Amino acid sequence: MAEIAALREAELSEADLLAREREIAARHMGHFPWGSVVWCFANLACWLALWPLVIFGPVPLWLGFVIATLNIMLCYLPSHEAQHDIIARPGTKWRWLNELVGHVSTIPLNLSYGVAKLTHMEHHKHANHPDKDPDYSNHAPSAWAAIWKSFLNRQPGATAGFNRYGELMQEMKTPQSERALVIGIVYQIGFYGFLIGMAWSGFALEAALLWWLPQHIGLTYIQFYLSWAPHHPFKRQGRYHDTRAWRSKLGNILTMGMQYHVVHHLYPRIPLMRTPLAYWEMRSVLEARGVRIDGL
Amino acid sequence: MLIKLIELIFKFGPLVFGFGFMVPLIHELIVGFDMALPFGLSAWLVAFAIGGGLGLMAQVRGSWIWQK
Repeated sequence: MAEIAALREAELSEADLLAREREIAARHMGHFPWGSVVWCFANLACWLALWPLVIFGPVPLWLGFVIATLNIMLCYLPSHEAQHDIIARPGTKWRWLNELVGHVSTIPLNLSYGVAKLTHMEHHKHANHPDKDPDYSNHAPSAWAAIWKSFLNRQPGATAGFNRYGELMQEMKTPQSERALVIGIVYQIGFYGFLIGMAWSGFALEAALLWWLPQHIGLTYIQFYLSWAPHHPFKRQGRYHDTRAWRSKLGNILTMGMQYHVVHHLYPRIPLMRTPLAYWEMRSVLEARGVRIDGL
Repeated sequence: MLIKLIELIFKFGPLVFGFGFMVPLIHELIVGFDMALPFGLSAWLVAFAIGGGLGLMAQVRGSWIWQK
């Protein structure tokens, strides 16, 4: 059935296909992403609450570690909605909420909003370009290699991954990048200062298991599912070829909606939670466009 | 002055992390698990040797692990 629909779409002209694609996308844009806003604050509140709950005893450290790891895995996507102005466009009534979500959501990940936004916009402009895509360094030949690469990229001497983000801020030389760099440095000082302060106050294990180790695990998970999996094998560029639709054994929730990443790259202002629906409505158009669809 | 200090901290980041975080973390692990140390070594001495050693290695090699 889907193949027949794709063939029908293939008979349409370029202009018709684009018009159809845009008409579907327009139906899904402009919706206030309540889910992502609640997700941001609930997730952050949960992670912050873990500190007194673990330190004063009601929650055991091992359970705190598990919850903190989940919190950090989950903290990036609400900020991602804000990076694309999905919560509120500049100059609108709820803009402050967009910026607030952007700033606070990724605190547990030790990633500042400005750096995240500027590098992510570069990723969208140059997806899969070996020199210009800041996330290109996540490419790897296999899933295990991608996980290992994620660890290698964050070693002190590495010039890729998050280390590359700092270099990019310096190269961009715009007022926004300079401000983002300063805030990014403040984040780093705050993060390591907090870890060291806690450690010398007798809470080294708590700091390690509620922030340091969960941050490493969460970052690996995020880089794997938000970058490696949807862009693998990082070879092609262009609007319909720099990412893919794919089916994961873990399903949609555990892959954080990234099976439908192609919809996000085509129309970044569609809220995350609407990308599955937009994909299924758009699927035959995407097939006719030659989008890589792996089992979805 | 402050900028120079921040640059210095970042330049020696692995050493700062090794002595600043790894040392007290390893000390807490030794004490928490009640590990028996050879030759009557103190927990702090072992923690400084391991944490500081790892930080020094990461500072010199640019990596905390065997592969760069």
